[in-house]
Amino acid sequence: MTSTKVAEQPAAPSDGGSGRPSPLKRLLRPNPLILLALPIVLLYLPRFVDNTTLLQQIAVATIFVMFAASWDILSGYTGQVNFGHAAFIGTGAYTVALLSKYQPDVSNELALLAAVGAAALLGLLIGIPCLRLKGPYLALATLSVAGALVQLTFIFKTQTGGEDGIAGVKTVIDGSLTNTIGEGLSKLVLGPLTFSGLGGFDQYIYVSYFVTLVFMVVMVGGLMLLGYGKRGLVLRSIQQDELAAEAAGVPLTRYKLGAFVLSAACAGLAGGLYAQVRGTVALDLLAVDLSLLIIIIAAFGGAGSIIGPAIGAYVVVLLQNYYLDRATDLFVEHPELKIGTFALLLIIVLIVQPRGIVPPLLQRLSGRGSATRAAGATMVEGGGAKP
Amino acid sequence: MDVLVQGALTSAVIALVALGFSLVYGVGGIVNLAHGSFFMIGAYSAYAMSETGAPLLVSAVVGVLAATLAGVLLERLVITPIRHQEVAVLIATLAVAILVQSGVQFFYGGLERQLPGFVSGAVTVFGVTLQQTRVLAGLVALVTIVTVLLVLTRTPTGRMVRAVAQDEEASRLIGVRPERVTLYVLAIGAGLAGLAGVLTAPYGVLTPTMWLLPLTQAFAIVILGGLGSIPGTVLASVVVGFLDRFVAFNVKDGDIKVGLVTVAVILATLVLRPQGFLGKVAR
Repeated sequence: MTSTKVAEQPAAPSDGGSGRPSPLKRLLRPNPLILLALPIVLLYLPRFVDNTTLLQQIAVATIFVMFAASWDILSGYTGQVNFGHAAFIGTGAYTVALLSKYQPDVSNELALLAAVGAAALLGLLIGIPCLRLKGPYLALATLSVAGALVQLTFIFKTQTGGEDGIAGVKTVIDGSLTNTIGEGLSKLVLGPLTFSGLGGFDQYIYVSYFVTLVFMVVMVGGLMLLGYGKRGLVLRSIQQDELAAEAAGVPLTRYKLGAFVLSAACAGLAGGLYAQVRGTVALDLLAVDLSLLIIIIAAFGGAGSIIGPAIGAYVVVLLQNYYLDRATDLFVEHPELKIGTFALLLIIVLIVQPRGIVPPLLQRLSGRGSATRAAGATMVEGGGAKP
Repeated sequence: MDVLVQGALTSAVIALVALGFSLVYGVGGIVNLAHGSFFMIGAYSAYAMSETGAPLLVSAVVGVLAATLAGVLLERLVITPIRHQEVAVLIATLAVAILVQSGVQFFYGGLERQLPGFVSGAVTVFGVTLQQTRVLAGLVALVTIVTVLLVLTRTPTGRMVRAVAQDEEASRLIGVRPERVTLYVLAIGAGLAGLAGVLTAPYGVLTPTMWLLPLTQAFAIVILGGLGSIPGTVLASVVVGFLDRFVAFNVKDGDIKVGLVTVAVILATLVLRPQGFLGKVAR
């Protein structure tokens, strides 16, 4: 592991000397069709699929895409593997729920902003002491912060409801912005008469579906632009060799802390939105299991590429919440086998294809080897260099 | 007095788990998040054997052997292919821990189970009345730890292990095979954790999530004592062991909060003295 991995950097100045291609171009280069088609397919999916249970689970999966992508911008890029991402998600979700419970006058949009703020603040608070920590130390520190938050909800049981959580959170339908987006897109996709023939519950599902989709596209798109641009390169350089990056003039503290706060803020937004989609919050949003599932998703899809974890989230969450139950009764009777199955899959992927499944797949599809290295996950490969 | 005697016994058992964890890190540079699973495999295998009507002593031996075998399998199948990728090892061993948990839950359900005691009745030490199983667990653990320490410091095998821990390349030059040593150490570490699982099974309870607490405690001990330092590990085990019992006796709902205290210890250490009591300076 002594060879440097600089060769894998996407910095190849092979564009005819015309300088660095714009982030947008670099982003779309791996496979423009796939990246642009995904949101459009998802947008028009409800027109062809009227199975509302499935649509609801896709909406949940879309939220998990945001969880995984926000994890990736910190952990996949800088190699600071966060084992307690649920702390940020839960902070966002509980902020929204507590506001809805105690300050019902606060609008949903403002509550989401508060969720972002609270999570970002937590990211800053955790990020500062964690700047010096790496690998196993960081893993344990982040894991224990999430554990401590779980204990906090028990200590403030009257406010947070302890194990029962908080029910009756104002949903996406109650928010003017989210409802407008949801209804607007529903009419666009399903036709003008959309909600006249539907019950209230169906309306809620369609609104959730489109709102999560819009948030996801904006967040993942933004993160990808960032990740595939110059800043992403800098973040990646921190992973590959921190000392070299610093020697090359990278302001380490600012970038590491920035990634921490950005990751936390995005997770807080997604968590807050999840609370508004479910209408309840509970301990599962802070639990170790959620943090682990996110790591499984990201490593499975291919950490350090944003799109990998995003697609990984759709695969894993839909399998977990929908398809496995319908495949065999075994999973209905023994839900614990699902996470075990994913764990086993992950182990195999880590050994056979450490870059995850999505980046190599995109590379193959686009048929352009070296150019798509930008999408290559380097977390697992690069994180291993021993001093 | 209660706390002192109980703390000493608990420390010995915890040290048994932490010792293996620390050795594996020191020798192979491997942070094995599946270490707590060996503890669980030991306990459940012994339980499964005793269910079939086998004598308790046989069940106990089977428990230890099963954990050792699990250690060998983990090293060969999972760790070896990705050994030099620190982050991948972290994630993969965590995945193994989840896999084992899921498997145990599948076969035994989420219900709490218990192994019959090897000995029954109570004994009074220094005016403290104790279950004999706890005393037995503490004593066996203590003897095992002393044996392991003696082997490490006094025998050629131990010297080989310490050589690899100090400098893998240099040890290779003098004819030691680090891969082989890593395998042995992981197997023995797994066996020690399995033994701890078997010993505590009669008074603890067996659940599919029982791997988490020993893992966090081992982690806390290793961080507290300094990664890779054997004396540090033993010292820190005593601290964490006493703390464990102190909290369990003196705080309301203490048994639940033991984990939280452990976590607090870790965080405080990481912030105040990242290299631990006796550790080398963190890389």
